Amino acid sequence: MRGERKPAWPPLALWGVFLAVLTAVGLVFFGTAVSTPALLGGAAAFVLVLALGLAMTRRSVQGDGGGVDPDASPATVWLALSLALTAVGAALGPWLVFIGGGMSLIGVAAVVRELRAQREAGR
Amino acid sequence: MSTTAPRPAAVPLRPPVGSRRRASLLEILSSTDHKRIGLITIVTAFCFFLLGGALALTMRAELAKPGLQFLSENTYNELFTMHGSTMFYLFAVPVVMGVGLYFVPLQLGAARIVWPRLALAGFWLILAGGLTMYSGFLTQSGAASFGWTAYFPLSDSQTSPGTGADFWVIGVVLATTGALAQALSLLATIIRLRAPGMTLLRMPLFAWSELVTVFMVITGFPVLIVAMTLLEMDRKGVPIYSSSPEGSVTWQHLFWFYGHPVVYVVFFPLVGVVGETIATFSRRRFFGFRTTIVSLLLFSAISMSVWGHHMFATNQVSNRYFSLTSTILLVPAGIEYFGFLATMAGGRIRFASPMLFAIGFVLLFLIGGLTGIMVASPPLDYHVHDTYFVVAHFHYTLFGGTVFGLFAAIHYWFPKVTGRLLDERWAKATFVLLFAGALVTFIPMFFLGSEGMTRRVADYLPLHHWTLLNSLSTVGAFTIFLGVLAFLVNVMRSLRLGEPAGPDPWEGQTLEWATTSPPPRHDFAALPPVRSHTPLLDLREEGKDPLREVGLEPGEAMA
Repeated sequence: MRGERKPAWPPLALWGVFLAVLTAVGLVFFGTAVSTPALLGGAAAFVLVLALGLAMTRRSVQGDGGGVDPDASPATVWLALSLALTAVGAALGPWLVFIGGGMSLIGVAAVVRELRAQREAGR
Repeated sequence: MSTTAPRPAAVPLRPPVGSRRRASLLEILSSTDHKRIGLITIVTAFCFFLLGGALALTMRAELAKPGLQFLSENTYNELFTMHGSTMFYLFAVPVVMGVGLYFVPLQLGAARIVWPRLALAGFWLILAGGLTMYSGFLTQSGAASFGWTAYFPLSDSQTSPGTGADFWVIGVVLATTGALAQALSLLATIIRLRAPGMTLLRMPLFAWSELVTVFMVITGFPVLIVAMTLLEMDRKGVPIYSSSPEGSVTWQHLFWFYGHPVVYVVFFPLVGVVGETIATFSRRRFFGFRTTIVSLLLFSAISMSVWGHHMFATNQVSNRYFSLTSTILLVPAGIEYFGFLATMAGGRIRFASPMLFAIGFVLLFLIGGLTGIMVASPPLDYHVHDTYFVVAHFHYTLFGGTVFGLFAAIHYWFPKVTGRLLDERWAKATFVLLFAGALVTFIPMFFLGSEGMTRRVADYLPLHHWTLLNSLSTVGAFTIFLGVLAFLVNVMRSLRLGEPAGPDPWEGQTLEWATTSPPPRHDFAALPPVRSHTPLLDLREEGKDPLREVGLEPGEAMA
């Protein structure tokens, strides 16, 4: 059943239309306020664009899972924790940002290496 | 749902492979298996629930009688801030993502998730966020003390100086980014990895409720991440909110654009769980399935447009619009309730523990919903704004909705995850204690609030009936504690001594029951045909045994 087409964009598009209608109704009430229509209308536009993107990508559904993942990904854990350290550096100082940033670079490289190995194993 | 289409044979998938060697902790914590990611997320979130609960008990003990007993006012402020923050950012949101990561792929008949690394990174960001938030207690300034809403300028660097508050902001950003990452993985999985025959309208109710939840997450959560990042920049001296007198209202807009939908994020998936539990234990299909799906979509869309009702008292939003949308929420909510009741009305009900928790959800959430109509009306909201009435209202939606829904989910799916059944007597004791506790804790708060007792205070007037109502509420909180204790005992006991569950102990209707308990690494050895949202019930109605159709024996416990 690989390649079977089951479009997934309609519920997202319907949801975006609901948001757009709620924004349109709100325009009667909002007056000159900007924040409310901007947030709600922005959300509606974002969702509709996302639905459009989904409709256009035409990626097929892969019923059997479409790939094999490694059992574990320590590189991902390393990267996530490094990013967290970098963020905490915003409170504790640039020294931690640099350490976290350096660790993140190593993490990205390790994840890329994992992905390459996974791709080669899948061939 | 039609069952007349010609039936394809069961689809053989990869044979179950995998080692019986016990995985190390490191392997579990870095696994890309959606079940392990889901499970560690659920367990971590539940640990945070216990921590947040301990903070709540401490506060209730302080409030049992007037006067300051053992907490200072500032410590009390830290406790309610961390209680609310823990329950939202570290428990409720992650737990619904974790349950989704575990069960949505199983319900879709998928062998894996899309972007497992993203989901795994999400888990670690949530954990790191939680630890960062709590490390505020270790700083000289103490943990954040401005409430989980971090209203500006209460949260600025002048009013709330210190590293503890910075840690809180960064922790929220990390945890919310983690949840967003897991939601994206779930969305992509639902879009791309459905089993043969699993069209959108054949997805089970729970999978639908997770999909709708993910819509709200991808729309609302980025706004909070940006708002919090800007707050941290403001605290570091870059004028953002402090650059204009309207900064405080701008903060409220940005926060509540996330903050109201998140209330729905943390109970929508559990509406799905409760719907499926009710259907399974009523031994029939969920009544009005398609109407309920549309109502879920409508409900979630409207929930994105009601954030301003938190700002009625600011006089800076269109109260008429937000009152209108907040009241209209009743329509889709009513449709879902009608679905619950109509499913039960036509069924042969088994009152097993998952069903009891599902009924508890329906009853308690109703109190939260009905009082929600009251606070959706600006005149009434002015009266009870920032009082215990609001605290009672949202605890009936969050405790009645999220916690009872989660307990329904745990009691329903524990056999699938562990291969063992929970003990029914302990489970029913848990239900009684939690249900009674929820009533005794929160009902008095309605009276206190309507009489003007404000929330977020460590002390109150020594009026006789206020003391009585507060003491009653404290007794209720400790009853809930006993209920949680009974649950933990049951889990520990059942993990070792519980009866083997087999693949399908409840005669389930959806695909997760068509594999072993616990499921193998690749989830399924074979899939039954999917012709509706209840593929196993379809087979049963044809007189077939769904387990034999996929090559399983009823007593088969492990792959």
